[in-house]
Parts: sequence; structure tokens; C-alpha cells
Amino acid sequence: MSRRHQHHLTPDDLDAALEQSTGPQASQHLESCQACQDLLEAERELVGLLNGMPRFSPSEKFVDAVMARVAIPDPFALRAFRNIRSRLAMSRRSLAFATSFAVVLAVAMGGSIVWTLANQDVLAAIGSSVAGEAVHWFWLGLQTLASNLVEQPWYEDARAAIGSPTRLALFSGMASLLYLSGVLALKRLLALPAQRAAHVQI
Amino acid sequence: MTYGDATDQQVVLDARQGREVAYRELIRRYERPIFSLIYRMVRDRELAEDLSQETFVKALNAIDSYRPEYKFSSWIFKIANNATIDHLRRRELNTLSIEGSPHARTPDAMEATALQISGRDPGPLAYVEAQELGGIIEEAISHLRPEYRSCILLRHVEGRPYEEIAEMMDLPLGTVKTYIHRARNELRKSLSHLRE
Repeated sequence: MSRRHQHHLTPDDLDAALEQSTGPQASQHLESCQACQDLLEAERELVGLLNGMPRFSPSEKFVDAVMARVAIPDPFALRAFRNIRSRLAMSRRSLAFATSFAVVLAVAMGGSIVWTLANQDVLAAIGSSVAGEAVHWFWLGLQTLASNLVEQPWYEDARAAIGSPTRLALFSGMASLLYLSGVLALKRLLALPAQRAAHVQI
Repeated sequence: MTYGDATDQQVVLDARQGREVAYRELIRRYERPIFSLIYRMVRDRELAEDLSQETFVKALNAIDSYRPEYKFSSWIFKIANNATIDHLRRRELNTLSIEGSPHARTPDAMEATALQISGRDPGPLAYVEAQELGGIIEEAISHLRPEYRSCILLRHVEGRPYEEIAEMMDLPLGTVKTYIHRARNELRKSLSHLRE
């Protein structure tokens, strides 16, 4: 008698037996073991009961309820997009155009890098001159703005209104309060509504 | 347009072209299996309907991410199973009564959420017997761990192969086999009085 023959059926043997594909050793064991025969019979009955369980149907409005929440892509837009994509991808002319554009871009970039490395002094001179001019124009703009502001008719009144530290503090406080209430109102407006159904993960 | 013998993959391709009828066909094909699985898992009709809706909405809105080399059924069952297990873990809703949801507050709500067991034989006595037997089996299944319950329902009620269940549940094949054998053992013990 083999070692296998002495042992009861394994779960895999039982599965095979349920699917009518018992191996020779398991069959041999089954013939002589009442316990395994009883177990297999009980398993068959259980599987039969489970197989016979009916299916349930959801409510009649189920399909429409799902469809109301599904975003179906617009077939026309989809076709147009695919047409454009396929034309761009398939046309030899567009491929040649894209290749020549990439070559020109690469040559131009390479040339500019080489020129930059060879003419660093010239670049530095141009850089400092441009920076000097930029600073000069920035200050000029600032001065013009300040003198315009000072000459406005409301300037003196506004200056008087925040002239003392107390008034300045009061003014800053009110402005901060106004800003804070604006932010809170915006946050409330943008808050998502509470979900009724449970979150589902794919 | 009708899909008759068209495969799920063909229907999915049509859905990707923006054809509403294809979306409806996919729902029609899977609404009963998905709803039955979820209903047996959560034992509450209203909740099962909500979770089934979530499953379809999630799947159909992500139809572009479905890879046709896999079975559509595996994909949608996987989404349904994740949604249900996720829900059960949060709500610990795994020991419910056949009479209805424990969250039901009124007798009407109890009735509305109770499992309705339907027999196949129309005779009154056979109907009562089927109701009783069906109820006993449903009750026994409801006492299994959620993971065991999913596995046994997918294997022996939906008839899915072990490999597909492993893929759906993101579990090793050996674990799925173990779960199913343990579930069958537990069910056999729970239903042993029926054999006597």
C-alpha cells in the first residue's frame, strides 16, 4: 500500500472529485475510505445548494440611475480628435515637417551654445549693460509713480486718516478682518457636498 | 442596435466610441450578478443598490482604463468586491439577520431591507421549503468572514475559476483555495442539521 493511499483526501483532491476528475490514487483511496466518501458526499450536497442559489435583481430604475452618473464621451468630438491624431501621426509630410523643425531647433540651440562659450566676455558686457539700464528704468518708473501719487487730491486726506499709530492699527485690523471673512466665504462656497454612498476603490 | 452574441470586449470597444447603447448593454449583462454578490455580502437591499451603482459608475467612467486582454467580468467583479469589502471593513456589517438590516428602524424598513429568497418551484409547500432552505443557507453564509464570503460566492454561486478569483481579490491562488475550503468546512458544520 502506497503512503498516499493511507492518507485522506486533500482539499485539492476534493476539488478534483467535485469536478469529476479524481486522480487514480485518490479514487483508489475513496473506494476504501468511508470517511472520505461521506465528506465528498457532504461537499457535493453543499456545492449543489450553493449552485442553486437564485440571483437577485436591483430595482427597475437601476440602469437609469447609473446612466445619469456616467459621463459618455461625445462620439463626434471623439472621432474628430482621433482623425486629427491619426492624420498628424500618419501623414509623411507632417512627419517630414516635424523632423526638419526638430533638426533646425537642435542646430540653432547647438550654435547658440557654441557661440556663448566662445564669446563669454561680450556676453558679460551685454549683460551688465542691460542690467544697468533695467535698474535705471526701474527707479525712474518708481519715482514717476511716487510723484503722481503725492499730487493726487485725496493723498493728503488718506495720509491724515492713517497718520497716528492707533488709526493705522485700526485700519490694518479692519483690512485683515475683511480679507479673512472673504477667504472663509470662498472656502465655504467651494466646499464639496457630502457623499451619500461609500467611496469605492478600483 | 442589439448586441446578441457580441463579446464583452466588443461591447466595451463600442462604449469607448461613445455609444450609449453599449453602456446600457454592459449594465444589463452584469447588474444581476453584481447586485446579487453585493446583496449577499451586505444583506441590505438599499445599501446593495447604492454599492452596485457605485461599482458601475466607477467602472463605466473608467472604461478607457480597462485592458481588453483581461475579462471584463473579472474587472467589474473586482471593483464590486473592493467596494463591498471596503464598506464592510468600515461598518463591520458581517453578522446580520435574515430578517433585515440592523440599521432598519421600523418594521417596514426591516421588510424592505430583508433578503427575499425566491424558490424555483411554484407550488406553495415547495415554495415554503425553498424559502426556509434558502434562508438557512443565506444565514449560514452571512456568518462567514467577508473574505470567505466573497470567495465562496464567486466560486460556487457565480462559478468563477480559482485563478480569476485570485486576480479579482488580489490574493495568492493558495490563499483563495484555503479560504474556499475553510468556508465550505464552516458551511458544512452550520448546515449539518439539514442532513440529519
